[in-house]
Amino acid sequence: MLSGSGPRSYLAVETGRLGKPALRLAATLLFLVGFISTLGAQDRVTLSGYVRDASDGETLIGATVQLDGTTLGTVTNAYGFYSLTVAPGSYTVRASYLGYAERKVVLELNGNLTRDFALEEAGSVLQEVVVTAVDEDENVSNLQMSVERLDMSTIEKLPSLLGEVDVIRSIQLLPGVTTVGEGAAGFNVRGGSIDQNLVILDEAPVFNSSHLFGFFSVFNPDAVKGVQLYKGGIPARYGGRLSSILDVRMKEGNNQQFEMQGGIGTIFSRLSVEAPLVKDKSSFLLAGRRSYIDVLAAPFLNDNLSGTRLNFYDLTLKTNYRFSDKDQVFLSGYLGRDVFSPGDAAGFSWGNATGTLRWNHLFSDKLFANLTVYYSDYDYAIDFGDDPDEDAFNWDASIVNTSVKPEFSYFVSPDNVIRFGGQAIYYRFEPANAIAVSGGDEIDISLSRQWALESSAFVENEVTLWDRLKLNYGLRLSHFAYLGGRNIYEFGEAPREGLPRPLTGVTPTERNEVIDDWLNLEPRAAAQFTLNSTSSVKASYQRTVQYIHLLSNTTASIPLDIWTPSTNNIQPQRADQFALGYFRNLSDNTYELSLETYYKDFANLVDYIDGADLILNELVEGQVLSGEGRAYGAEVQLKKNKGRASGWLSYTLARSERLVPGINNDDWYPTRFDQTHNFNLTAFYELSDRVSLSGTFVYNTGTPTTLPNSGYYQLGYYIPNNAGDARNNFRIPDYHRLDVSLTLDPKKEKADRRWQGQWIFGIYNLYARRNPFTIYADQLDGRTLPGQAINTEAIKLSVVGSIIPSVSYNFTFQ
Amino acid sequence: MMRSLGLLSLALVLWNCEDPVTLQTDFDAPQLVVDAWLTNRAEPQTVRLTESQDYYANRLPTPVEDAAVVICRTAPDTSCFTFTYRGDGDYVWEPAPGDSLGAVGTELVLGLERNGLRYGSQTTVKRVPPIDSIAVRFEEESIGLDAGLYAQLYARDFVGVGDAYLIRTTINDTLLNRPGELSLVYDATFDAGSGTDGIVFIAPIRFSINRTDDDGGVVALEPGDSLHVDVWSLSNEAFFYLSVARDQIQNGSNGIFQLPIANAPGNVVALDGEEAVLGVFNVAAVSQASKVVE
Repeated sequence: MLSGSGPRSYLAVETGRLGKPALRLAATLLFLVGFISTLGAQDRVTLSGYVRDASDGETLIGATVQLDGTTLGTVTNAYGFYSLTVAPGSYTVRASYLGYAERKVVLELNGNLTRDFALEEAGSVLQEVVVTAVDEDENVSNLQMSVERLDMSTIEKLPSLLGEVDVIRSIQLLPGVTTVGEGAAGFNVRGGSIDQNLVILDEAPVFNSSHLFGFFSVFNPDAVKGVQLYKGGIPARYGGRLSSILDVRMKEGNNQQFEMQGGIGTIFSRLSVEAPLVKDKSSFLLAGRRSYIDVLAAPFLNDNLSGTRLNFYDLTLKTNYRFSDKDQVFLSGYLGRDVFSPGDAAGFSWGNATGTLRWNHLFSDKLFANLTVYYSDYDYAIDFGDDPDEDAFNWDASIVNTSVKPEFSYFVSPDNVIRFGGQAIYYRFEPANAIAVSGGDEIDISLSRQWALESSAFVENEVTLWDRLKLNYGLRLSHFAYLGGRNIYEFGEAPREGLPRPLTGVTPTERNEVIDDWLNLEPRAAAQFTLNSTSSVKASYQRTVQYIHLLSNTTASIPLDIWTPSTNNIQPQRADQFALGYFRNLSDNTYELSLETYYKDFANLVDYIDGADLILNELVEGQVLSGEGRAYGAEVQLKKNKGRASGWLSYTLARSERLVPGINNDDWYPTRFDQTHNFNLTAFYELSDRVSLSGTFVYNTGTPTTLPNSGYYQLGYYIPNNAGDARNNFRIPDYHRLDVSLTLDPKKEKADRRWQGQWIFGIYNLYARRNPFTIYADQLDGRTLPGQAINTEAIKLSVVGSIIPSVSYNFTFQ
Repeated sequence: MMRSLGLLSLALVLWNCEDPVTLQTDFDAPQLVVDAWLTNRAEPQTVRLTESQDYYANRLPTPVEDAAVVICRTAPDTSCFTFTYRGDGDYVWEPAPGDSLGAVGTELVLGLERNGLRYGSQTTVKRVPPIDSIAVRFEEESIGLDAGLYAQLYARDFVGVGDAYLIRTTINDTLLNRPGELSLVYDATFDAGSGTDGIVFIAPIRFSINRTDDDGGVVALEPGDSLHVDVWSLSNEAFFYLSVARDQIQNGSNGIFQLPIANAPGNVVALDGEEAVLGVFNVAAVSQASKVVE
């Protein structure tokens, strides 16, 4: 225990506590790998630098830098940096990135050399869509499995709902990623629930990634460089969630010239400006979007709805400054908000705000360091009542976290990279600051705040052995402390299964006193074995631990997200995943084939008693249940990267189940997002240098839901009942949908004009299928009189019930 | 709280569509249903015994005609009341003038026997606050409300956490019994755990004594309309049951924000064996008020 005086003093003690085993471990590992790698090291020289887009100076993530005639090569990291340490000599160095013309230079490496590459977009030829690979045989040669990368250029070509380019909806076309349907919150990765995805925007976590209840994601496509989704084989440097990491990287801003982009769509209008502040040294990007449903709807709203406000907007700002070849600083910020208010008497708004400061520093040509400091705040507010003194209700809530995260990459040799670092996250949860006023009486119904500190340290070693075997193994040590400053509750056994557990004890705690804490080791390992130049096998294992949990029992995105830390009543969730894959490229890398299987085992998953009341409930912990889960499946993907026609086809066969004492008669049941078959076809076709077509077809098995099988009368009401207590006992019909879009680019002869316009015509749900979101049991309208039966029916609810056409116009001005 | 989210669906009505479908359920065996919502008033008290049915059966329930029903007071004194069968599954006890099941604080048990199997339950009569007034006022046009006369029920929750009530309103002899009209109160607000206590019933609850139309819209009162309001006290078990049942029968209007299906947990149990029994035994103390709209 600690007599705490603020988080800072606590932090010091905490890191001391945590630091010892973590440091010892890191030192041992470093020593080992250092020892191994120095065995072969004689006189070595290092070539390092950045790979950038020549037109706007944006760094290219994952670009390949290779020494011709050798197997030596590397890829750029998340900041576009590479480092190659080789024997002195003369080399032809090749820098390449798919969709860009490669650059070759002959370099005499007699001493350490810094060399940046600026690649030109392959604009003169028919522009191929960059599917996911960055280098031609990356699918086979890269160590990473279970990772999907989408560049903005691909995402922009996908047909989209109402023509709005959407990062989150795009990744739902990838194997292993599912969603319950339009309007459902988030996405599910390999049988994981939505809160098991860590969505980070320039390192800062985004707690609610959707606008308008799940229809549009919060990321402005004009400001995003690309996204990378880790479904498995998650390297030790990432942690905090069980199932996936969605790493969204923002553009740095054009450091060569002024550029303005914008668009007018059905939902949003967008505008972004980027320009150099000091050419080649500093640039900024400012991008904004705003919806205008309210503007369009205003004439149609009658008198008592005329005060309705319904809009959402987001603002993204990023700037960077390169002090020298060794130091660069990035500052990025995001602010997004949804506002919904049907008149003056009620209001509802929610949004994320994040800020990230990053400092890249090169200690040497071989040691790259990044220090990230971020702040992330998700909050919402609800107000009711037109007379605040008489009758009103005001509720606001927030999740705030601040973090420090140093990371180091040590490029020992082209065959060996060691990464190590750590992170500390300080959380403040304010589930409700709420005031109810009734008949002039005011009462404070706020819930207690919660505080927590999550700390971690990791070390990972990426090494190539005998040219054929690549390994990345590492260890993450994570620690979570649930901190005091509130009453903590103890609960007894529920009087009967399915009832809330009774409160048996209340203990006040001191601010920053450690109420409960956990220390976990999370081993990670990935291996790639090259069979031949066109095929490889890969395997991975990961253990992940998650210390904060989303309490939600609806499928749709209710912005009233209630996150809770692990407490004395809620244990951290844990998952182990094994994956095995076969990768093969065909026809000179025109086709990429991948086959992956996985098995995932979950422990301490959060579930709830039937009828749980999660909102504004101080004793919510008494309604939380804990269970285990398992998910397994096979994913096949065939991609075509070259030629006029490109795209991918993916199929997933999967199962996702839970076992929670107190639910489904203590037997396994499928999750609400379990889909046996999931098939996606995404195709792009270049008709001419101006016109391109794209289409997506998705098919998946209907998800399970729970429906009543019997009913009975009580107090004159007809009460639905699920005799047998089976959970998710019914599957809604299968989901399938075809979307198409046509993109009209500017004429080629106008390519040197400063204003470039682009039209996109799209049709979502082309054959107007009414895909069910859910099926529910309902009572017929009308008042029944005593002695009359109450009539019922089953209703299929489709969120999108018809064909949705859209037109959008995008422009670039340079 | 879920009720307020209904408002949000407004944004989505553009594309939403709802189609009736025919479903086969796996319903097989009917279960015994005990409908024992009684009061401590000196008037006939009815325990109705029926059977559960296929959810989509669309018929009145099958009555249980061959049972024996008794309710006994266990504190502060002991005495038993035998219910006699009157047809349609109704078992009735008619108190002598001035007699009742018991004052606030009385503990009672329910005993049932059917086909040689015994069932039981217990409850306590909880307190109910007096109704201060029913106020009828003219309201300006606002969201979901036409201009007109509307009633509000003024009552103040007791100080002390855990008081639960059911509001039953009759307008011109029509009991407000639509799913959306089921009005529950827990410490002056909708749900347990909110931290309110001892205040006047909150505005939406005060307003819940107005009738609604088929679309859930509130209907204005007309001069001459006669309102009668009963406030029943509920045991915590009865409240929890009705709060789950309320969320379930009102779920259809939640659209995509629907709550998962949950069985409302009753408080009647089989004393011989593991058979699941449905329903609730609650004896309410009652506050009443009436008003004729001028």
